[in-house]
Amino acid sequence: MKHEFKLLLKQRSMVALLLLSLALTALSLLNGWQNIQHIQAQISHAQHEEAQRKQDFVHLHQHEGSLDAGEVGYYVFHHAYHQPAEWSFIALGNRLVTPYVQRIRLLGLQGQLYDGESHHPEYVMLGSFDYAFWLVFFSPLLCIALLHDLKASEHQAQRLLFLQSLATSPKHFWFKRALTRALLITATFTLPVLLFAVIHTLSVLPLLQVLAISLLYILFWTILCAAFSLRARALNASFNALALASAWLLCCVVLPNLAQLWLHQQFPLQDGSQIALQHRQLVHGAWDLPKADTLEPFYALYPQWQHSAPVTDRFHWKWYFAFQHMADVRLQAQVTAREQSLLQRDQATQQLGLLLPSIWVQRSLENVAQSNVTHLLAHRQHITAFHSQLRHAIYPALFDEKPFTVEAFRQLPVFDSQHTHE
Amino acid sequence: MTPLLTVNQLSLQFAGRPILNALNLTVETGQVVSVLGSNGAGKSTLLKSILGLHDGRVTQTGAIHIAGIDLVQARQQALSQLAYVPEQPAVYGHLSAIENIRYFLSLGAVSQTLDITTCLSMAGLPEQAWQRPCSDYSKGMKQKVMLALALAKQARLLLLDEPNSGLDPQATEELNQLILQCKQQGMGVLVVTHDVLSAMAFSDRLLMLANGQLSPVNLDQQALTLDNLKRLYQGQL
Amino acid sequence: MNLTPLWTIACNEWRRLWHARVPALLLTVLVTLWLIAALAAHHHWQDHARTVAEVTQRSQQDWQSQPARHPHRVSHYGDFVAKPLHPLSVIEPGILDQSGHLVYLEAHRLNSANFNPATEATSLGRFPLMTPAMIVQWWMPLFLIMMAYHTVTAEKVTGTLAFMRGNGTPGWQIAVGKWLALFLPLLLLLAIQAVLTWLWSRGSDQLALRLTAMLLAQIFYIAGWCLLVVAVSWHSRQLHGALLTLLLCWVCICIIFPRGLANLAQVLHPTQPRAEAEYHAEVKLKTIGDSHNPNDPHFAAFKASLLKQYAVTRIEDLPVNYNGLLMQEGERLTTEVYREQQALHDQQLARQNASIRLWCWLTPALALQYVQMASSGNDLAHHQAFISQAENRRYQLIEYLNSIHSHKVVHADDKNTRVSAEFWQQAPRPAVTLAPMSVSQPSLQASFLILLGWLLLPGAFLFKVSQRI
Repeated sequence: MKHEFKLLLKQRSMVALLLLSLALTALSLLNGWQNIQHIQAQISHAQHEEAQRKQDFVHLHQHEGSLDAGEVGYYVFHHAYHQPAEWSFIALGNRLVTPYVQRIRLLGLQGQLYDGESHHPEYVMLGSFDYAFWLVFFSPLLCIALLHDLKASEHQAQRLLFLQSLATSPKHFWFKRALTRALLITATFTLPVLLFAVIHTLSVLPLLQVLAISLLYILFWTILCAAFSLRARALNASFNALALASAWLLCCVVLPNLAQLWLHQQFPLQDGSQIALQHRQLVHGAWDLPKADTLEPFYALYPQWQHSAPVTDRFHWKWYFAFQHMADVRLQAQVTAREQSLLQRDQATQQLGLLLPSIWVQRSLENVAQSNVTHLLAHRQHITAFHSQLRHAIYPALFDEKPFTVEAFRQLPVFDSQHTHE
Repeated sequence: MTPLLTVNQLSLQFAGRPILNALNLTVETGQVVSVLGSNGAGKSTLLKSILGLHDGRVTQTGAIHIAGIDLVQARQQALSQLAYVPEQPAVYGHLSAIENIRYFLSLGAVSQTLDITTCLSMAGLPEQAWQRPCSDYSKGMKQKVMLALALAKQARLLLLDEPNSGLDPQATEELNQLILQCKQQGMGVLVVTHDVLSAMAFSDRLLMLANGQLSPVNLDQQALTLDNLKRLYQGQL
Repeated sequence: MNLTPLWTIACNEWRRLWHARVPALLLTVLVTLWLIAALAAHHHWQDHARTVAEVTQRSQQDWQSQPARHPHRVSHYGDFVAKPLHPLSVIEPGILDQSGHLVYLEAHRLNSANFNPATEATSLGRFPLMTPAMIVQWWMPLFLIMMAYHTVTAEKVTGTLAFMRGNGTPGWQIAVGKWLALFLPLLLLLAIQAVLTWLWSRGSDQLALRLTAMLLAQIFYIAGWCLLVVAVSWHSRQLHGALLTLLLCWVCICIIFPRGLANLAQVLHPTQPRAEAEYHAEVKLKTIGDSHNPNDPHFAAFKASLLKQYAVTRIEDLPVNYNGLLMQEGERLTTEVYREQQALHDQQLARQNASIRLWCWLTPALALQYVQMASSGNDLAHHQAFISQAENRRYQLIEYLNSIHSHKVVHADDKNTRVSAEFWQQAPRPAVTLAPMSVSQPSLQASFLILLGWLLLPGAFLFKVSQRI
């Protein structure tokens, strides 16, 4: 083995290629880290601001120690944070596009949930340069570059017969050759990850998962390339390179694209903005409806408030918040169906991953990084739960028409960003 | 004493086409045997057979023993007794002579090896070249590296494939001397070549491969004319 | 000058490529890929086009079928517009998935198109999208490399290059001949694509200009790649050295640099999060004036000037509806603030654009993509133009509604008045149209400059290297 490594590493072009790969792996990690750091910074800034702004609100709106519950519901924004996980930098996934701070108030939730983050759309389209992308896309290319001419290069140098006459066992000889190359490739991908984990003292379990995923993927490509370039008549290096590059193209671009097409055909999905739009129309339509049309179904859902004083004025906050909520309720079936389709899409992706290693690796890394669509849905569930908590905290003051004390305001739930994901 | 190489009744077909036909060959200790033959006569095929390196398209009957060891039964053991020097010296251009030899020795299960520098100086490679990458070497120098390897692994049988092609007269002369030196050390040498003149200079026996069989060639220096050579290759002599 | 040797060399090269079989096979694969991409892109486009058509129709229907209402109800009932799509989006969908394409227009709110379908993509969405534009941008160069990396190297190895040079063929003739042999078939493919696209999208907006820009950029780009392939092939001594060098170039130019630059721009000049921007707009509004607050200085002054203008003492005595005027003034203020906010956001994006253009010469692939996106109307500039058109339509509409509020609704009975539906049907709702291509002029200029450089650089390299044997 020692001699094989020496043989390989004495080649200047090989060393350059490996160093380049090493540097780019480090760069992909750093870039992911930088992005996550930025998100973290924004979140902690927003957390600080949130507390400050709520205090300002109390300051401005309190009237002898109490607040108007309606104003609290309408004017106070609560932040929902999409907190990155410790290992999110490994695969940015949708984290780059989902808003990491969302402002939620007591109005209907579905009207507030689908705003995207205001990034530069062109750059979002170009994609992110994170470890997952680098691994999925480039480790195969590196494997192809290093392994496509195992036999062919020796044949071309007229060394094949000579080597075979020297080697104790040809199988053992080729195995060692392929293994040294695979080990070097693995090292260029895993060493920076290890180093990174050590420097930032990251937790071990995800590290092991990332390493295992990388290892398996590189192993897959090594076996594919080695098997192809060691077959009996694999003496044409160019042909090998072409065939393997085609396999790469198929695995990393064509098939995922076709899969995506099939997925969209199979599980059609309504645009999220349509939900927001319908919500808006339901809400605005409610202004023109008789108040009973809103309040009766609402009290059916919340019988505990049905004896609340009837609304006789043109406007009352409790009617306002009731129709906001009823719009959510009316859309519930659609929202659930949407979520269902998204989950089905994700499930199908997972199953496709069992067939196609590239998809498997991407999805597994996103699982470790908690930046998949399932985590987005979990995050939305979390927001929904938080929104319900808020409503339940404010409803008593609203429907019993009691003053909302500053004390109660301070007791209002705060979005728990640390336990977004289970 | 057992001969270093015996080929007994070797018949070989490639994709159904007969190449070698009940061929017999013996190389004794301290003997240099040269095999001549026109292009496509099967010289390289014979070498491949002796190295035991044919793929599935070849059917082969007969027995080959190297230093008394059956090539089929104990291939590894048999191969460790010989050293093969290909027509294009198979050194890695980016390694130096010493590194090349060290690498090649690491591949085989060679139990006892001689000191590499001793072998290099025995093979006559100038000392200042030992640490330089081999891509700068001339073909003669590369061949010396190959021969040094043979010495280092203490091979008893040396197989040379067209050793003189592409060498200038002086390099040819040096190589011939080296072959004779090996012979004196008790090695058996089998040379496959087109260079009749050199072959005559160092060979104990000169054989011609034609129609899948080997036949002795009886020529002396005086009879070596162009006309005779042509007839020799046409099998009329 | 005798040019026949060029053709002889090119024909010879074609014969060799044809004889080698693999290139022909690769070309077939490329065309198949193109077909798959066209199919996928068409499907994608159809999805979007259907949504746009549906939304436009529904919006029209909903608006027209409104009953008699109070104008302020109508201004909150709102109107929505969908982003118009150019048929060339089939070639390059650009930011279609990354930017919203529906805007809801209502009073005192700036709802920009911000639902981003990419947020809900599964892991499959992280793989590069296959579109006809991508085929030209990524896969055509890759297949070109695979087909032709050995074009000169092989001749060097076998010695035919030295033979030709020895027989008096000048190096540049060989180089140009080889280049022609590689470029012409690809040019043919590009031309076929352009013709098909033209047939498909006949009669669409600025088609000739858009298609020409796209085709021209594609031609420059592919011609540059052909030059690079011949040059590297000439420069290399070993076959797989040529292949690896070219593959490395491809990986850097097509994949690493564009993604790296985009990430760099975002890290160096981060955009303000939407939540922050919204908050700041609200704060600003509050400082300017609060129409609900009777003691607000701005609105107190507004009221005073109004009373003075009509020479009355009470708002009830005004000949017009004070509430309507108040709305109008409020709308003016909010619109000002929101537009300022939007301008600020655009400025941030422009800063990112500037930082990326500084380094864009590293990757002609990105330059080509800019041209393709601009031509198909799916770049940032077109999106911004759409947003501002929608905003103008919103402001115009709300102004109209507010003027009806001021003039057709009597102040005393404001809350109970319903205005005839006829007024809604006559409301100004100018159709939102695709912006002209000139909105993308800065990015087009920069991109074409880079593409020209991309022709010159490998060209000079080839000229230099073709002096050698």
